[in-house]
Amino acid sequence: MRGAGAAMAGSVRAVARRFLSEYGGGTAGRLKALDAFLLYVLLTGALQFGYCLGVGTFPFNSFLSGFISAVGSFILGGQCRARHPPHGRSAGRG
Amino acid sequence: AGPRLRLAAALSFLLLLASAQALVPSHRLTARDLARLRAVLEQPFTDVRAAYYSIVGLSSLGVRVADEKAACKFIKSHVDSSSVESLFYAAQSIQVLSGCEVTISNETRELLLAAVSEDSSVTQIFHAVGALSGFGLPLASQEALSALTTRLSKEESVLATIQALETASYLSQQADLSSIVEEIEDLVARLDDLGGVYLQFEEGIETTALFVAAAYKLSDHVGTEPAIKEDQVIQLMNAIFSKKNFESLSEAFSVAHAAGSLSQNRFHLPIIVVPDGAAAVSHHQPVLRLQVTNVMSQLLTQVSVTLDQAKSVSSKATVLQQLPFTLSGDFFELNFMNVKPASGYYDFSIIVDGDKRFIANKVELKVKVSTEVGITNVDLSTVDKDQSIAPKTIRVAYPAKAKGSFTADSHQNFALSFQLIDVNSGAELIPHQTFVRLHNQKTGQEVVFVAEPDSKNVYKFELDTSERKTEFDSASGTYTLYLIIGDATLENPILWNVADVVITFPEEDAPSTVQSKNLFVPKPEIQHLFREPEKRPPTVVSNTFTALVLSPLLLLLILWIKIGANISNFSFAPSTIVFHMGHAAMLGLMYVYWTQLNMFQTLKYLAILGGITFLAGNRMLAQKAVKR
Repeated sequence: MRGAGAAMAGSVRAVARRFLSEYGGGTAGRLKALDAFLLYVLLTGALQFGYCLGVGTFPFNSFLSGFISAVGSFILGGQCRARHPPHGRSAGRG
Repeated sequence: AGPRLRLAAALSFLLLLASAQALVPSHRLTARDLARLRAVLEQPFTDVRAAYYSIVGLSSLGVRVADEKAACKFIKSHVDSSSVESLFYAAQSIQVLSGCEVTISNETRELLLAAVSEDSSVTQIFHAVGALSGFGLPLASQEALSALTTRLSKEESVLATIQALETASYLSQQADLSSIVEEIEDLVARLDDLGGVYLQFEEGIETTALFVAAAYKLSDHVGTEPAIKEDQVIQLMNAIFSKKNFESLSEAFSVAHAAGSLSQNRFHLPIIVVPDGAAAVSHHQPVLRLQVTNVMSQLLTQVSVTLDQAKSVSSKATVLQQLPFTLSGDFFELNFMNVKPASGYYDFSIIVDGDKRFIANKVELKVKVSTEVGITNVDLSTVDKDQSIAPKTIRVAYPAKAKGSFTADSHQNFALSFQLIDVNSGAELIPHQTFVRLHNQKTGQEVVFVAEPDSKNVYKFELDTSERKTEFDSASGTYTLYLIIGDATLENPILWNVADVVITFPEEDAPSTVQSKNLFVPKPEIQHLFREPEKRPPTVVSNTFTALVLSPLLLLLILWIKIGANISNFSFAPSTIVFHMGHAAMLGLMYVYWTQLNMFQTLKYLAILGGITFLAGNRMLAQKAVKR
């Protein structure tokens, strides 16, 4: 029903807005820079994958190298971020 | 001899045992070979060595040099008195030539005697002893023997041992030559067995021939039989006389010398039984003629030749036993047709006796008995398929042709029957080839069938048009019928035009034309299909996508500026600089790898750069940690 859908859409928007404000305020600048880098890597990999799905796998070697390096960078970057959690939680340390 | 050769020899020896046949000489010096050998040896002399080879070689064959006086003069003028080798050649040649005398100065004698010592090589001792013996000069045999044995223990080569054998044959019999005689056995052990047929040294035919000559010379001298078995002598013979073209005068000499030894020594005389022409007898030629020769194709007539057994190859029955051959002129003859043998092949075992020295004197010979064939009871008939009408049979006699023609069509079959007999004995014959050939006069087609004998040895052939239309390609017409009879033991093979047959095939199967199958026309050409390149997207798409993929980088820079990321904390410590430079260098290396290098070079450079960068990075981070 339209009403429920609109309500849900509205709640999703509200959640997103809340998340963004909490994120913007609560996270240190360093972590935000790292997050920006991770977002960049993610987008690069996703775009390459999308191209492959859409247009074709030629040249396959280029796709492999680009995609795997994106994935690798994301994983290593993610690991780095996991060692520096926001608000001093001990998760990821040790 | 390599292990592989020994294995081959062992296997062939087993095969030889299985066939249980005595070894028979496969090679000898035929008259043509002798002529060729003589031609090589009779060339004009170039030096004393060539003169020696020619003179002594020819004398081994029993031939005297054409002009002995000129030869003698040549040797006297060309001999080098300061060379032991030259003196040896001169001395041995002069011994052979009649009426050739030469005086030896004291210096020459001293030279020769001095050469017989432990300090000279075996070859030098051999030449010196040979020269002294050839010139008739006295020689201390015991000292020569001791020098020889001492030298021989140091020189192990085959040629040296052979020369020692020959040297010993010049020494007095009073000296104890047994140690040298034992060398014969050692040399025999060093021979290579090739397929059980040949026995030769790996040094070649020349060495093998020299060995045979030297071994028999020494054995004759001391009076003991050489330690060479009968089969080995035959194998040596096969090897030596297998060489028909002589590359050098020395090779020709060695073969001639060996031939001379094997035809005239005290112990082993190989003999060869040669049939006159092909070993075949028939009613026209009922006598089997053989010649017995030695290795040099010299006829031996003072021997007795006996047929031990004659067995039929097909029936294995013994037809003759213990019958002597009679000597008539140069040939030993036996009338085999006296026992009226059936046509075919027979294995003859022949024994030649007369001298204890004979070897290879038991010979197996395959003799063919031929005969003439006659065709009888030739009946041609047309048989009605429904069996309602009695078959019309016409008898034809060879070589006449049947008058009129016969028909074979859908109602009638054509039939032919005949018998084959041996004209001389009346026995029934089953030759190898009994064919019925039908030849189409118009199109040139021919079809050949085999006529088979039934249980009573009557040959039958029947032509059924419906069964045989594929062979004929259903081409109707008049065919000429031929009968072809042939066999290796038939002297009169038969090709007989018996009759004409009109063959009619059912109309619906007749082909339009009969084409001769030409197998040798060019086939259709095959075009090579190259691998098609992969489909690529249009340039616009890929360019757009390239720009799209670079756009997140732009986004990253914008975000970073918005967040306020900066490099104000960048300290210019050496390790930091090194780290960043190293990192940049690694990325540059990636580019160079892409354009120029291969994996191995890249890994090498990467190892260096990576190591530096890692250490610098470690230092940098440690410093940063300390700062905090």
